[in-house]
Amino acid sequence: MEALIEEPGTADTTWESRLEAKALIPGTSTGVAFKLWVGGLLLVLLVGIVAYVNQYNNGLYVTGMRDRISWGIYIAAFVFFAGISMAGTLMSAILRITRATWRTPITRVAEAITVMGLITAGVFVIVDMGQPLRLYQMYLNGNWQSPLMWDMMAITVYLTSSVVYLLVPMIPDLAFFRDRLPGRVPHVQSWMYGTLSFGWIENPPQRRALAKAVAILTVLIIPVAVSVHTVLSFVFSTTVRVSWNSTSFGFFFVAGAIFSGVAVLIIVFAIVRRRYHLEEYITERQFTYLGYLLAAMSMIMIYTNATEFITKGFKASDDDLFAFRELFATKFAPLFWFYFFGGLVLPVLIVAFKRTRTITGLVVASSFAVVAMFIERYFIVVAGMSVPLMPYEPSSYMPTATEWAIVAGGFALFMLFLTLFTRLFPIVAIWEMKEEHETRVEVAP
Amino acid sequence: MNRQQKSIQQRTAHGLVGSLILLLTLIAALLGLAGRVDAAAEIEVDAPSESTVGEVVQISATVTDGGTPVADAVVTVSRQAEIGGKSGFVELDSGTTDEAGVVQLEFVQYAAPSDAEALQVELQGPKGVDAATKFEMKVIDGPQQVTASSGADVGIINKYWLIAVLCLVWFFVIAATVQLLVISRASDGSTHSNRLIPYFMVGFVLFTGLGMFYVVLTQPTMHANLAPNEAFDRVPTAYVGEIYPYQGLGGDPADRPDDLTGEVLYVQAGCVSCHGINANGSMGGELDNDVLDDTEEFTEAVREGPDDMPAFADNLLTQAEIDRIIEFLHETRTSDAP
Ligand code: HEC
Repeated sequence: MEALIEEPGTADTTWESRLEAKALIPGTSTGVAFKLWVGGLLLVLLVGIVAYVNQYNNGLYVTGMRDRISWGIYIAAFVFFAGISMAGTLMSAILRITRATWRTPITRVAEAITVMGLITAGVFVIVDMGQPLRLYQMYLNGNWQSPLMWDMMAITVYLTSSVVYLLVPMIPDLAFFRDRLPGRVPHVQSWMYGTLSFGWIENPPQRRALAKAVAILTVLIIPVAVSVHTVLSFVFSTTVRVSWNSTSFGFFFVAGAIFSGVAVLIIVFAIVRRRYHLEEYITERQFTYLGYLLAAMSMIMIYTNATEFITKGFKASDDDLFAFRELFATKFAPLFWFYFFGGLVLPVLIVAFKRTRTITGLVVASSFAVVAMFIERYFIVVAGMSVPLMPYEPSSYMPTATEWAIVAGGFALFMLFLTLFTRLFPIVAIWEMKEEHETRVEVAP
Repeated sequence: MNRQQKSIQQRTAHGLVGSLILLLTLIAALLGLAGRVDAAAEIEVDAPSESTVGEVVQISATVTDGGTPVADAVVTVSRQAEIGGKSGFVELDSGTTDEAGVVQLEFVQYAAPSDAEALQVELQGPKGVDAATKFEMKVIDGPQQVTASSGADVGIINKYWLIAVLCLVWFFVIAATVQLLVISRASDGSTHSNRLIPYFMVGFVLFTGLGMFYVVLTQPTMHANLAPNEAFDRVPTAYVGEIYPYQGLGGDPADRPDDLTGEVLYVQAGCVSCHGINANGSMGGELDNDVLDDTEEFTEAVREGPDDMPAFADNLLTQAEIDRIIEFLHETRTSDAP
């Protein structure tokens, strides 16, 4: 691995060649730690798959879901991963539109998180359906008036366009890999670079087509991402459940998605930066900006929670009181207060002080935020379902071992996807960084 | 000048004569009408002075004309109601008098706006109402009947809005994907691993997009609030607050109270969940009069359970209970069915 950095690098230490050398590292290096990490993830994934086979054979009966609480941790995980996917594309698109130059080193990873997050989210929907062939029934006998169908449509558009959005700006970098890596990597890998770079030789018509595709997608992806989360929230708020009776759910879900997405970005960046020695490109500056974004989003979350609870609590209908009691004082209280103080207040405090606004501090804040947002999705789903609609005994829900194993498998899948992506694909947008570097050098003197 | 004056006079005279004729006709018509009212039949109503919500109210009316009973006269009973700020009478039941001039009418008592209800029994003549008798009935609070609101039928809210959104979004997605093809074709070909992949990708995106259109275009509009239709036209047979003693299925029929009504059995044995309220049919078919009339075949179906229907052996439902279900269905279907 060390040898590879040296090879094209040391003799010629210009900014450009250093960048190129660094960008090539992930494509070629495999250490023991990497193998262990992938092996561990595969193991967890395997456990998840075994659990799924069990569920497939015995039906959803093996889960804790029953007639009254019919959505559980799977749906929480679905919303969580869909939420993570929000930040990636939205961040990269908004920053691209506003020409924020600090984003260039980080957009690629953000876009990858979007695609991986969405795929994992989709997996959880299929897991929650029980019989996976029901997906095909959605096509044949779906009901277009159902928010579930809208959800499927929105996610399909979002997934398709984010795959293209990930792929298109990556073409020149893949072409670079194609030209520089043959011989150093397995044949399949260089075949893949050759295929996915679509014969890129950087002639004017190709540049024009690329610019056009990026422009279309950048504008398209923002409303699509917002609509995905709005429609996702409709799945809840159009259902007759006390805790879901809210007109602000769309906004609430979009804000929550951006919040958790930014938190995941910070964590992934910190790992990628350390692992692939990208300190020169992903600097403290990016982290500070992302930290501000994190703090701003968590204040928006606090605000949204406040409006939601104050308006409902003021009227204090019987049902709302029941829901509040469960959330604030009994069943879900530990989860809720951890979410509120650990997941929303703490990140703001960490970002507020200069002493703690370090990369480590931000990673800590983000980890709290990510855990808290998973918990939030969990209690939105489960606490929402546990308020009885008729005067019957309130029921309860606890995920079974099968559910925990499948959820763990889902997380492993997400991380595995991401690991393999950073390993196989150019994780820094080399050409965009070069372009920006040139303009900056030109402007400087 | 002269000629003109003459013509004016002439016209005035014609106008006067015309008006006079018109006036006379009107007076005659009014007199005639009054005369008819005078000469009309009389209705005597025999109705309970009070009723409970949910109860079937029975009244009888006798139509006489100058003391002689009128047979074959159509009589209706209606109640005063306010709908959308307008007041009027809503027909509850109608019937035809017998030889003795008597007709039996019945209706289900709904909750009244106040504790007394204004009712009216009318004799329907060939040209309108021939006679009417108004009376009041005290309404005692009871459980409120369940009625399903049918939702708003807003014609412009339809699937084509969704299609428009899909068109817009997928146009852009496909436009962007096609650029991959453009990039690939603009290459000199020296660096390709595979030329077919971009075509495959565009094809895949197109296929995915068209799938969404397929879903929307092939599905009927069936949301109750968008398009109220027959499937959602629920004729009420249950009351909020009405208690169905739950026994569950199974057990010894001898342990069951043997006075369970057909209605209770129909709900309790679960027929309602498949055949629908009022037996209009949903998962199981409609139990129409043809089915109900053939008691033997009906019983056989219940005992054997055709298709996906569970079989009800005689330790689940006795013959007497099945007969009561049939009787109940006969009654509701003739009284409530549209
Ligand atoms: C699990 C759903 C289900 C339940 C519960 C059920 N049925 Fe059925 N029933 C069906 C189906 C399905 C059919 C066959 C389709 C059809 O012909 O309607 C059927 C058929 C019938 C038929 C024959 C109809 C015909 O057209 O020949 C009768 C009669 C009948 N059911 C009566 C009953 C009665 C009475 C009960 C309650 C004791 C009952 N069913 C409970 C589903 C059900």
